[in-house]
Amino acid sequence: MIPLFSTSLLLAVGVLVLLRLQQPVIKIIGFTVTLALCLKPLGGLSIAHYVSLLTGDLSPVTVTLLLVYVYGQFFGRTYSADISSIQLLISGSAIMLYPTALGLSMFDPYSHGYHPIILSPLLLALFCLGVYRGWYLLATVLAIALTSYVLSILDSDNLWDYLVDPVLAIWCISNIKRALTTLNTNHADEVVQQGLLFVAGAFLLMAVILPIVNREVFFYQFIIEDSFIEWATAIFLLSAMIVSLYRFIRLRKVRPRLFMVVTAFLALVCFFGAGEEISWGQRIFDIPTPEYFQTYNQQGETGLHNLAFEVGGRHLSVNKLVFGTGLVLGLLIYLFVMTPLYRRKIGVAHWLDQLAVPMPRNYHIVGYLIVVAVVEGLIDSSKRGEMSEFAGSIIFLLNIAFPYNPHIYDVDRTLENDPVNG
Amino acid sequence: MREFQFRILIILVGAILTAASWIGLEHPRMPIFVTAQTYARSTEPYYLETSASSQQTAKVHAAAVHAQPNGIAAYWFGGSKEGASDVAIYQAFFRDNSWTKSSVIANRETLQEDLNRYIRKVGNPVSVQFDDGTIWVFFVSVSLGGWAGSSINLIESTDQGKTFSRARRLVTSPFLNLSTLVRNPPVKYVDGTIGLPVYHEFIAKFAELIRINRDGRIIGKSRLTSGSDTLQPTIVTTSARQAIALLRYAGKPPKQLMMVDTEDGGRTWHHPRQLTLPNPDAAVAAIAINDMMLAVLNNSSTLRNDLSLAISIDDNWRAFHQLEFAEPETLSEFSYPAMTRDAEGIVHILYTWNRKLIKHIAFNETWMDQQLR
Repeated sequence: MIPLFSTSLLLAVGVLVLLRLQQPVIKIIGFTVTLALCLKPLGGLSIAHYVSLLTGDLSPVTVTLLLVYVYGQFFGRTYSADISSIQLLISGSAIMLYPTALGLSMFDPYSHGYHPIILSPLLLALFCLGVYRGWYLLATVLAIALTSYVLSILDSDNLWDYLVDPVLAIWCISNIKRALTTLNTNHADEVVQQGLLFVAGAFLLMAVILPIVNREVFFYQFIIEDSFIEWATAIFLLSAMIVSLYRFIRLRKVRPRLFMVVTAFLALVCFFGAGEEISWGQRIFDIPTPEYFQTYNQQGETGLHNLAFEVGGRHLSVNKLVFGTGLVLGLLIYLFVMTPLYRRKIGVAHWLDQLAVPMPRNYHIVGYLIVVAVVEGLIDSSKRGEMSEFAGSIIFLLNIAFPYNPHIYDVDRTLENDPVNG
Repeated sequence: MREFQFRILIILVGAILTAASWIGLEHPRMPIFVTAQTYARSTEPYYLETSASSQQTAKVHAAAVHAQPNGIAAYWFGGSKEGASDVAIYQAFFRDNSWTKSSVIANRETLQEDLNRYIRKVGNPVSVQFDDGTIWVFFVSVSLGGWAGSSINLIESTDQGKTFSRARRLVTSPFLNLSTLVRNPPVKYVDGTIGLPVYHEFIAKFAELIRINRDGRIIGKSRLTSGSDTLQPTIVTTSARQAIALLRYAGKPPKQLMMVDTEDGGRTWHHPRQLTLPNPDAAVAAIAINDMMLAVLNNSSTLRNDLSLAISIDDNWRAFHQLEFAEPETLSEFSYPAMTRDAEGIVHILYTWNRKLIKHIAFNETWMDQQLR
């Protein structure tokens, strides 16, 4: 019955749009008559039955937006403040969802809706961002969509069907230009930082809960090779690389050589990390592992981080040595030696600025510590390392992109005590 | 400041509620196949040819079959012609070497009433029986357009097929739930869930595997192929985690059967490869027999006038016995095979015979070995 009501509501709202300049009485009559006509059975089936062949089952998001419109028409209030964020999100989802549903490639985001251990944390992060930014309409539709999914009010077992439907997608995409222009870009930096932090938080929450509820799923679905977690880690690292490359290109004429070398090195490190994370893409292209890596890589894949050698009878794992001990030691020095010195000793600060070292803000430091504490303390699984890589790469990206010392990347400013400029 | 505190409170409440929903979420177990059982072997060859349908309807097509403790059950669609509004899903049982009279278990009207949706036509049934005797029949229905506009429905019987539950619609595509079809039987997992091989036809043809729990709810989906050339996957499990799928090929010549394989219980599938066997864009059925795989297929790259048995020994496929053959001029069609092994190990094959009959051929391993020699 719910799909038929939704379809009738859609048609009634269509009538309401046509009558929007009329007297309230006419609007009420037009609206209710359409609603009643659509639901009235004509020889077994109603108009709503036939129209729903073309519209499909409307998602709870569509129904909520329709109801908000109806409310606005009768009570003269509009909630259009954050409608553009909804339009952009739905457009983006639709553009990703519909072509891939036609089997263009093996990439199938729709399948993530059936057992939404990835989609649901993403929605939670968006919900939190919506509430935090005061985008209450976005937060409300997400809350309604998630609740309807849990109650399974539609035939579908797929969370996507509670978020998007073709009618909503068409409406959002046709409004995308206006949505882009009305989008307030003044606080884009803040939105990106808050959004990424909520993503890290939501996935850490999932990673804590999942091994308790079902260890098996955590292992074979959540943090498996080529999972969303691995790919997202690679994408965060690639984003950090792009930020560094962008700075390299913009600053190459105005900064000393050492500054440029460090910036380029940082980009290279990010690239290397991203490549290692996804085994250099070997599974997308179905490339067999070269013999060398088959012998020395503990996971039998192309990449350096799982290499292990026997040296003088002792088992040496590259992973443990460089990416375990080395990384932790480096991070400790960075956070608890370099950072306090940077903030207290002006000489050290100048020196690190010359070296193009992005310094962490307070929330980055807290972020790194929370990631380590949550992953090491709360996640009960031997594969938890993947989660520290995931959440850690988010904090790392924020650390690189929005450092404590952004002035060192400002083209219009020179570095103080710059040996070249003075 | 009050506003800020309010927002933090809402975020915390939202996070707690969402986390609670994750605890309640049904988490699928690791996919481990139920592997084929072994059967006692008789020394006497056994071979039988009969017909499952008895010309109750002018046209019949697309048989499905599954084994039961005391015989086999068959399903097909029949009516005045394929796609007509009088087409219904039929059921018949093979007991003590003879077929029961077939009966209608679903049609356009019953489905329309069950789903409260407009239905134009029904087709392609697929069946499975669980250890507790529950029978599930999946079949496709079309509301809009041709077969490419199909979606899948599920009905359940807990009384050996005497009565069936209301139909439940499976939602398998975000685009108006258009174009997901079934043709071949599901594989069983040890946790009681099943993997239903399905395919899409709208714009592009490709195959997927849908994991369904015992409540009939979809808990996962994986893609066997992409692109626009492969459909009607039939899955043969070879070990607890390994399986292959044979696929009907609808692409450019050479028209040969396609195959994909999995090593993780169907979660991910390797790139498809082309077998040496021909395929005239026609359905194929396959099962595992000991260490081999047996397939029924049209051994031709153009027509469905030849129906043959093929076997795979150590990954080498070859056709070895012709079940049906007619000269091309006769315009004969032997197609849409379905195959199962009953409790005694006898192989049963059902197929469409000139769209007039659902023919039934049964044989045992000893007979098969004679043909292989």
